[in-house]
Amino acid sequence: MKQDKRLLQTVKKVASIFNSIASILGIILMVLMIFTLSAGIISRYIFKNPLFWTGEASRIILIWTIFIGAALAFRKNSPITHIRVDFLGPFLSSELRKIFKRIVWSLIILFCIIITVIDINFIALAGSIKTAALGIPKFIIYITLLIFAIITLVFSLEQWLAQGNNEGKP
Amino acid sequence: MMLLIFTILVLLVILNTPISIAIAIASFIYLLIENVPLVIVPQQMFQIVNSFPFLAFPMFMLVGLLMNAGGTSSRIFDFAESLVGHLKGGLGHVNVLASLIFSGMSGSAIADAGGLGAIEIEAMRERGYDAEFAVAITAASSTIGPIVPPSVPMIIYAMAFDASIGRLFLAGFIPGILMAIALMIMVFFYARKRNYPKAAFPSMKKILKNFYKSFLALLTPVILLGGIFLGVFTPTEGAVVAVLWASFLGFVIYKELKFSHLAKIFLEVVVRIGVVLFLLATVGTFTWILTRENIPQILLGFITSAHITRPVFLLIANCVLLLMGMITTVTPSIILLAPIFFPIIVKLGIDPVHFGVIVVLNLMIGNLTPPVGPVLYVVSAMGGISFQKAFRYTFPFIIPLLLVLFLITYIPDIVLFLPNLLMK
Repeated sequence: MKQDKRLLQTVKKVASIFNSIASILGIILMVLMIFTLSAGIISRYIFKNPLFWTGEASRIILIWTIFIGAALAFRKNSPITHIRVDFLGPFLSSELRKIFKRIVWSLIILFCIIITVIDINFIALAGSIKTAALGIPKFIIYITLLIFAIITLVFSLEQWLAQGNNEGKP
Repeated sequence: MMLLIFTILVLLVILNTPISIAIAIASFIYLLIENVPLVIVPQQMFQIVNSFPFLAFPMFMLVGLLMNAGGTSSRIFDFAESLVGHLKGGLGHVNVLASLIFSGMSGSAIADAGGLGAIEIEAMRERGYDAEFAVAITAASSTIGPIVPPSVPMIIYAMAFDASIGRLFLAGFIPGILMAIALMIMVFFYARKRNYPKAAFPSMKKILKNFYKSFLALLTPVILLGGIFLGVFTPTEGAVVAVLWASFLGFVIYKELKFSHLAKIFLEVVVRIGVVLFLLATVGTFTWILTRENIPQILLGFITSAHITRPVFLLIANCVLLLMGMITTVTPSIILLAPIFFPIIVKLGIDPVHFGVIVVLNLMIGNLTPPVGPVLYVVSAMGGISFQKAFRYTFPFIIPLLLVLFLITYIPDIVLFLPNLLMK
């Protein structure tokens, strides 16, 4: 019980650090996205000399943005969350609700673990292939899923532990 | 086999698992049973989101949010008010007209409901309108946004169904205006029944003054749509131009936008597109499975052998799409349904542009209902009423929208008149 609480404290701390880093990264990504897309347009229409790398760079930035954003939507008290359908909610007792919530968070944790393993394999398989325009390894793209899975894992763990803690039982 | 996967998927969704996770887990189970290497999952996920047109998504959302924070939305509201505020139930009409104008520059219903909606609901409550009515008309009128160009769902549809984006954008104008008229007729009835106030007829001077004040804001759709239709830039590039223009208006002209707003706006866009496009990425894996199992061919075979005619298919499609709209958001539904519907509409000779407007309108109407109603959530929170209550009051406004849907489904010329006139 005491250990459980200490674990929750640690996870909370890590989650809050991840949250700050991901939020700042997200804002930087948006700035980069606007900058890259603008550079593409300006070079094409004003200088009549299109930059070759802006299309690919903006797509890479978009992929980073998607997975950082998706991870952030799993954090506790996020104003924007992943889409769920609440069919049973009104019919369940609070006890059952808690159990169901725990099941769902366990599923999300399981999902993160599977994704982590698969993505490491995928990077090993295809990560060193170079992109067409920039010629950088695709590892830069594929790692986003891994980062997403790790951040989401911590956020989900926090929510999972919080469910148990409210109840007073581990 | 597929039955098992669908059962798991439905069970997971009922358990209140996020839909994206439910789809991913169901896909994992399929791949494990079928002995397909799991690396297909990241491969499919990256392949589907690694696409330039999707950049229109964050950019158009940004345009809407920048206009809300930068004072453009409130000027559009003032302009709409000076035009129709003097009618009975004036602010209800203003609400619809402002949404219609805003549709011409924003590509997302959430940005419409979230910013302009806040202004509309506040103004209506100040002047003695019921919160329920304000919420209902704001939610209902926000569905016009993705019908009138520019529109993110239309861009995604064009990509998925291999349709001309220019023709699709043109096709949205008349249905969008019809929706506005249908909603204004509803407002008129409500206003008579509940005796809502009307403002005095504004002087010409006031109309001109409001027009002058909102002139640069009203120029946005002209620049954006003009540029897209004249082929100066692609819709995605148009969105970037609109972002720069909205920032210019907000920072330099109206001076209402602050750098401190930007961080909050950027973060909102990041999380919102994260949610939608992550779901889309998982849907990508799932459609791969559907294709592998030949589901599109099986359904096409069924449609052919059962002698299902065009009108009957359109009816079925409308029902399926409405249902999809009720349980997910717009863009992932389009990607999921594209491989299934595309061969059928080709076979039945339905114009993909006509079908596109039907698809988007259906999904938008479905989005006004529980259990998943993103727009309704945003709007009910702003009006300070519960989600259930908001739905009860929004429901009557769905009827005129369904009427418009019926008209555009069975009279294709309403949709195809403009694209056929202006583009070949």
